[in-house]
Amino acid sequence: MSQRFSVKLLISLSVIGLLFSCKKETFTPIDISQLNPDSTVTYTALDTWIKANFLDPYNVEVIYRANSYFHEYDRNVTPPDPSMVQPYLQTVLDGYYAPYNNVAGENFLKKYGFKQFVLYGSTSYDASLVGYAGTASGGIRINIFGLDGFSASSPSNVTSRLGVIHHEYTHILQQTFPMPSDFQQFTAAYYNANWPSTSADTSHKYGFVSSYASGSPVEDMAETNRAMLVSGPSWFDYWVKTSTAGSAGLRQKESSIVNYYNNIGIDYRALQKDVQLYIKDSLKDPSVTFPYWLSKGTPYSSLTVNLSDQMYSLYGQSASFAKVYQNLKDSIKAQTSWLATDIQLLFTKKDSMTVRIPFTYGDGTGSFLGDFDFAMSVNPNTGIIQFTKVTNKTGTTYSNGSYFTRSFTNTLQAYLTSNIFIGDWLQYKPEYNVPANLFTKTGGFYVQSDPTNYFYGTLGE
Amino acid sequence: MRKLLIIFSFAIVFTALQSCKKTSFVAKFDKTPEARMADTIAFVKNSLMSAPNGWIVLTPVYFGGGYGFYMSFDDSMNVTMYSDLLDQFASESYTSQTRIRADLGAALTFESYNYITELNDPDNNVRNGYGGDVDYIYDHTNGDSIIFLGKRYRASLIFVKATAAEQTIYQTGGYLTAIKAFRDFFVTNSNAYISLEDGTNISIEPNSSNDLSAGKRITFTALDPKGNISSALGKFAYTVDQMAILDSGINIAGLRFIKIAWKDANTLAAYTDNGKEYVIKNSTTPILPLYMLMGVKYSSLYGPYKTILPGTSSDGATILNYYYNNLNNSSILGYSFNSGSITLQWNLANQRVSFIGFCSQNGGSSGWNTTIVYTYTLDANGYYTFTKFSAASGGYVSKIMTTLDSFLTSNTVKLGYYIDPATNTVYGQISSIENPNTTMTFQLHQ
Repeated sequence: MSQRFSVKLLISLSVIGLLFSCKKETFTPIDISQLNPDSTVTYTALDTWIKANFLDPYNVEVIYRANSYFHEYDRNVTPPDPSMVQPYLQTVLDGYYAPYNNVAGENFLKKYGFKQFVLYGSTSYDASLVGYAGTASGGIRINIFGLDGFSASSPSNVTSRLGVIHHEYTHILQQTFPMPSDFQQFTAAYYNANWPSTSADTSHKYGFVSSYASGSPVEDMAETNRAMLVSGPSWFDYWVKTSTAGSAGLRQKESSIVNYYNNIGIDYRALQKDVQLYIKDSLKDPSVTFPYWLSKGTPYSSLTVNLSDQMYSLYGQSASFAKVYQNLKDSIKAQTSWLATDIQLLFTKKDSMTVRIPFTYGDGTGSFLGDFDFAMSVNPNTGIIQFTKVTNKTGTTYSNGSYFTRSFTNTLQAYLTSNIFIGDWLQYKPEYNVPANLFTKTGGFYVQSDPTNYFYGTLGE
Repeated sequence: MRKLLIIFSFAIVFTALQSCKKTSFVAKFDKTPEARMADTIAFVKNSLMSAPNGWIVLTPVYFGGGYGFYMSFDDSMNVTMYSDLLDQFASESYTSQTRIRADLGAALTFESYNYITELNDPDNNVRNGYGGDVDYIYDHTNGDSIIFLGKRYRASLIFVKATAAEQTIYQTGGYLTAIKAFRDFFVTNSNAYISLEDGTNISIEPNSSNDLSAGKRITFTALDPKGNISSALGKFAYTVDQMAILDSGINIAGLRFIKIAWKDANTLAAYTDNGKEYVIKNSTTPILPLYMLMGVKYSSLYGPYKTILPGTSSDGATILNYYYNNLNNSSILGYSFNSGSITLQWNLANQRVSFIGFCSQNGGSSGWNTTIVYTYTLDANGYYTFTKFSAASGGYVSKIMTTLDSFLTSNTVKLGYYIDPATNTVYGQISSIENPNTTMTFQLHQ
């Protein structure tokens, strides 16, 4: 027993000996500080600016120096010209960070924003030769490609690049907050992974904002959100109105995205308004203005002005116009004893407008319409709008109007034809404090030489 | 048995205790890997920064031709660069950041945009670019040269120390002047060639464009006294004093040509790797026979309206005049035309020649083409045999193309140059082998 024990002991000792036999008493620990012998980056004024504006406030690492480990290994992607970096990043601060900070609070992007921002000069092409402007991964990193073509002086270029950020950030959100489960059901029958083969017209027809959106629900949501935030609500309404089979699906997606944001505590319409006002007022991109969409003829079909509406006590009214408005009503009453109830501007085509005056008998009974035709010239770039009286068409509403032509001619017609107007959304002055949900749903005109002389109303589509 | 087990156990313990004794270990290197990498990085970095006059840099890219640069590095590894990629790049410097990093070796990374980035840029040739790199791995040093290899495309990037004089030229706009001088030489000397001692002539044709598949390349074509022809193509890059032929140079006629450089103010010469110099001359006509250049250098033979060019025999004139003089013959054509021309257009890829009869009613400003297509065979002597591939189609003049059509299909023909002694103009001439008295001269169109 004892000998057997001795044998066991010896075997045990040998095992212990084996365990200790390779003890690395002579092993030299690696000095981690020396492990990567790269020459250090030379910090420039740009790096200091990036640190102050991205790393310090948001803990975001902006990488613009060439680093092939941040893009797909099988692609050539070149580093950007540093002269493009700060102007580009400034538009990201103004058109992405600022709206989120304003609406969601400064902590939102600090917590849920991307943490690595990698910038490249060239486009990134996949094996199918499809070029990419951006990618998002892991909920933390956004790659931006094609920065060498950036032009801070080109509003359309900046707006386009801003669209990439909002698209990619939608992916970052998706990677943090699961996308709405219903989203992929709205136009489920029309997704096609081979999206380059889907034309823009076809994707439009079936309820997508772009061909790329028709590739998958994930990209669809990112593209739809980009379109709503950056192309803007007018563009989206135009897109819905000019789609056929996809109109309902587009509206459902819009609603789903608004709810998605609301569920994570962000007032989507307020965010949308902030992004839009940056594009309109800072970038001066005409494609998001009221005159631009008037000049397109779609989606806006009418503007209703009724100064007795509560809107005008909340957001103010122009004394000059109020006088014209009242004179019109008084003059019609004096001429015909009828009561004009409000004014409507019907945008019948992109270059014509009909003023419609609803009225009743003097005792308030009946309901009639009086029409007067104008030509309308709109400069989508300057926002200048001019009205010229033209011969009325014929019909009952024109016959009705003819009973108070003199009243109309001397008041509202004179006002419309003797002034040069600038068109804008009601929110053109922040002090109006107009709710975000009215943005692009209300608009009007002010006299170019006297901005205190204006009228506005609810836009109809 | 138990004793054996005990002895065996002791042996195991003893072996275990001794087995990993480190005294016998001899390191293959005297430093750790990271220390050696640090040494390499420091060496490359110091080398690049310590060239007081900067570097002349050459690279044959993977998909495109060859490209030349001048680069100088400051103390922070910022690089200031000129390039022969575009005239603007050759005359205006651009500064960007570089860094030496540990990668698959010590890597010189062009960290931000500069002219060299254009060779990697996938927007310049979708997806692949020109086959240049952003990361270049240090390969070796050779005298005053440092050689890197592109990380992806493995094209060499060769740094050669510049002299003070060269630096001055680069920094004062002289690079573009030098490039233009080379380009102008080959425009003026459009049939450039060199003659070897054995009578072999070698034509030299550089393509200084940035065309992906043909640009920044130079073709040497040798024609020996026996009439044998061989050709070689190389990539080249401009420096301020030479067109450097990259990779291993151009091997032809038993020689290896590595550069073209100025022998004196007006004379260019080609130089071999062992320093032999061959002055580049210009020939009135191309060194190569015309049949080798149709479809390559020249696209067509062209006969202008009612123009019988010198060198055309009377039999040839009869053939051509049948076309020209009947253009206004409505009894043959049904219509009358006041202008027209003859074109024989080569299509090398398909080995076809199109005979295009053009007719016009407004003096040639616009009109109609009638086309007959031939296939052809070319024998060892350079003689053509044409076979009709498709009959006349289009236009209105097929009925007056018959004489030349008949000539082409019933004769073996050869092509040659014809120099008008009065004007020294070089024309292309078609002659019949069977009827040597039938010759027709045409303009050579590129």
